[in-house]
Amino acid sequence: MRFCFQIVGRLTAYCGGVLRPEEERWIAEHLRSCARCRAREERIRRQIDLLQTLPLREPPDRTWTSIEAELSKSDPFEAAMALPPGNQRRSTFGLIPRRLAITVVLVIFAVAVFAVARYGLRLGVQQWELNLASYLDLVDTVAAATADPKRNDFPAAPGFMDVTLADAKAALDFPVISPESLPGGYSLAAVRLYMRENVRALQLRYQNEEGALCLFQMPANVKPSLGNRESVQDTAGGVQCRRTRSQRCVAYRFTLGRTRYVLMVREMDMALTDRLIQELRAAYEKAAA
Amino acid sequence: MEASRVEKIAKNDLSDQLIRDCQVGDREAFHVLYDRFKRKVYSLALYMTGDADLAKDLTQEIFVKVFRDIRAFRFDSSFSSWLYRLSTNRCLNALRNRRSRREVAIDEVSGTSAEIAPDDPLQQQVTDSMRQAVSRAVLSLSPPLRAAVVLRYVEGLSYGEIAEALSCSEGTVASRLSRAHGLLERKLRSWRPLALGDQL
Repeated sequence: MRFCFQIVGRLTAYCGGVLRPEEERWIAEHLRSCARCRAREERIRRQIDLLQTLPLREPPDRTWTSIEAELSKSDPFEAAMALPPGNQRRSTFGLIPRRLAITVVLVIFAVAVFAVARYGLRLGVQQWELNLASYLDLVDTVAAATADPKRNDFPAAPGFMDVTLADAKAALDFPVISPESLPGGYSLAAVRLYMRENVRALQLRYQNEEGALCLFQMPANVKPSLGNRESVQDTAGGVQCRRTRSQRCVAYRFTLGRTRYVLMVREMDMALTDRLIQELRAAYEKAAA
Repeated sequence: MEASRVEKIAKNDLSDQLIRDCQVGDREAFHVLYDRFKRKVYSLALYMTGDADLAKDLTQEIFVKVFRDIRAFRFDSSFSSWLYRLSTNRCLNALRNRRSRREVAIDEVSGTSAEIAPDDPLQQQVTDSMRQAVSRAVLSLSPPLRAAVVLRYVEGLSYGEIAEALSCSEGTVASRLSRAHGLLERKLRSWRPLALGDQL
């Protein structure tokens, strides 16, 4: 037994013949016993008959002409030829699907944020870093293991190759200096060149009777790094520099013009360091002139 | 126009090939497609808006959009469903955007029945009167209810096809039609069809 309120909402669908057979059956049963619902059903059927008398209408004759004129303005026929099928939405960039365009923009933004966070905002010039921290460790290890400090106490840094001075100068595109001798009786003993990606650097090894020192040179866009070792601001030979100590070595980082230098010596001898850097400065000024 | 295409139109059969021809920019195929659907689209716009001029403009806009976007059609639904969804949305948007309601010319909407009973002026008058009353009643419905009624009874769509066109469930379609019939009953209660021979 069904009640009228259960029937009323379904009468339209019942008249449309879209109900499940089971529903249709119990509505038909109810209608047989309920005159009021039968009257409702009758009214709905009459309405449907009336609504179905509304005819499909023909558009005005000029409609197709207007459509053709509109299509010719932007020539969608050619656009249809150019576009691949299946892309429902397109960006204002035309042929690029909107999702792809958004993804590309997001990736570029993420890379930009990462680059700024990692390298800072340096517009115009690409910055590189030459990590010499492990080289300092190597120098310390070699010095500790070698009984005679005069022998090979500043080996080739990782990635540096022994070359002739002429080859090194030909390969480098920044001002370099290469004095044959330095104060303290040091004379040039080895020339090593680093060339990877866009980074170029030079390592010169000087030797005297008591030991050796080495001098790294690199362009201004290559920053020498010595890791997390503590460094202090210092002045040597009239040049501002940062001094970093390891167990068996002292490194001085300074800049002359467009070239960065790292001078590494065994012992911290301020007088000798002053003379060394003064000599290097004079050599740079001479080369620059 | 190719004979095979004409036959297919006559048989109410829209081939995938015709759509594919449209997708590669075949103007003739576009014209065939227009001929096939022009009455359905125009009637939907006309009964939805009650304005013949606006319905003509909407028909033009809809077909221009169809031809521009037809490359996006992926054959994962029937073309008519895709077209009805696009057309219904455009009509509903037009109604939403229309700030000042234009005067509705009921006789333009419901048409005349001269083509049905050209020799019987009385029958013609009865039919015209009835259509005007029905059109007026349909136009009094809210746009979502009106869309359901027009798609069901003028366009002859199934509940499933209406649900697809209106982006709703079949239950919602049934509910809207039921509410629409409740409202139409009050509007049409005063109208009584005249039997042949009655005096107007």
